[in-house]
Amino acid sequence: MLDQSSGPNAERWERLYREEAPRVFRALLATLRDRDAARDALHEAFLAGLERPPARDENLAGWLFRVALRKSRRGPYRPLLSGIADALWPAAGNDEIARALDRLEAGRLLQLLTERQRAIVIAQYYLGLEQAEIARLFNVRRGTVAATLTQALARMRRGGQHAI
Amino acid sequence: MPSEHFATIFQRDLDRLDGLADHEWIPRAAAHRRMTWGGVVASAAIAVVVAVVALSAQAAREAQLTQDDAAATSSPDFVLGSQGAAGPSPSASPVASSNAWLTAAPTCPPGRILALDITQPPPPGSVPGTGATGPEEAFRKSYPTVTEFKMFPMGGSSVWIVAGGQTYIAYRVGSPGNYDWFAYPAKVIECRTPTNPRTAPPTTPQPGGSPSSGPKTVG
Repeated sequence: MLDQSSGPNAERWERLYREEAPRVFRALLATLRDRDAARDALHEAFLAGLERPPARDENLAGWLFRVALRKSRRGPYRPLLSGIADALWPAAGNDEIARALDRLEAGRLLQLLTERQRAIVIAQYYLGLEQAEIARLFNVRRGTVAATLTQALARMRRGGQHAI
Repeated sequence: MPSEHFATIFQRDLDRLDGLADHEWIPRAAAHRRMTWGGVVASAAIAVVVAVVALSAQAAREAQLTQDDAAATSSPDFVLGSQGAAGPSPSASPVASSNAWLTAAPTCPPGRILALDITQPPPPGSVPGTGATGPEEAFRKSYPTVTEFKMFPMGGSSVWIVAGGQTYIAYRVGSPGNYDWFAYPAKVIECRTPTNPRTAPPTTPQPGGSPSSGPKTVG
């Protein structure tokens, strides 16, 4: 795949990607709670960037995170197919991920949230994105981001009193 | 709990999660990469479209051409299949192990269409405009280390390529353009009957291609 796009731009993109990918992978892992899905989504984002790199280098982590999340849920039948796949070939690695997250305070807090809430919370508190950046990346209003964060924080505070 | 505290918790804890191994950061080759379900659906859709086009062309040819004419007409028709999912019909003989099409392009008797197992690249797949201007260039671009190979025209926009005991197919993806040729590993599965591909007895493809499709040796 890479040798068809080899050249200065591809090399530069790969270098930028490798700088941000470790952090973005952990963000995806905490959001999706599925190692294979996180890795595949990250790969999809890498390939998307190889084909059409982001216009600006700033917020590259946010760009990768957003594209990977979008790729991870592409298609109307994806949840159904994923469910069937999980039933047929249970991913043993995901139990390990779940256990690892459950051992961490952050993992227990994130488990209280929906996937969308997790994505926005992680974008803000782990990737360090501003609310305006999150709104732009996720193509939603800034008020929606603020409201989602407020709800998520409330859930984590309520749940945290019991769980932590 | 102040919100700043959450940032501390997430930064501290999520950095402790295991990352990927070095070889996992970049997508691997198509043959070894786990295809996403989106990719599976997309591939299935492509296979259906190609099969429909192939069946339509086959029906039109049968109506208009005699058997000799059909044999003389180079046929690009083939359908995508796989040994596992779409699979040969229950009574299909395992034809992929034969070496017959190492010396010629596979063809099927009139009324049958050729089913190939083609290893496609992972999503987003081959993008028209990013390939090569012809089959030879496409093959050299995809397999730069293979210097000696033979090409057998299959007709239309398909070329059967044999190199070192491996078989490939090069064809155009998308609307004809300047850089739309791509080459992929390919194996013959069987000859299928268009009307009922699952129940009709398969026929082993015969090497030789059309009379006008002589091989071109490169290297």
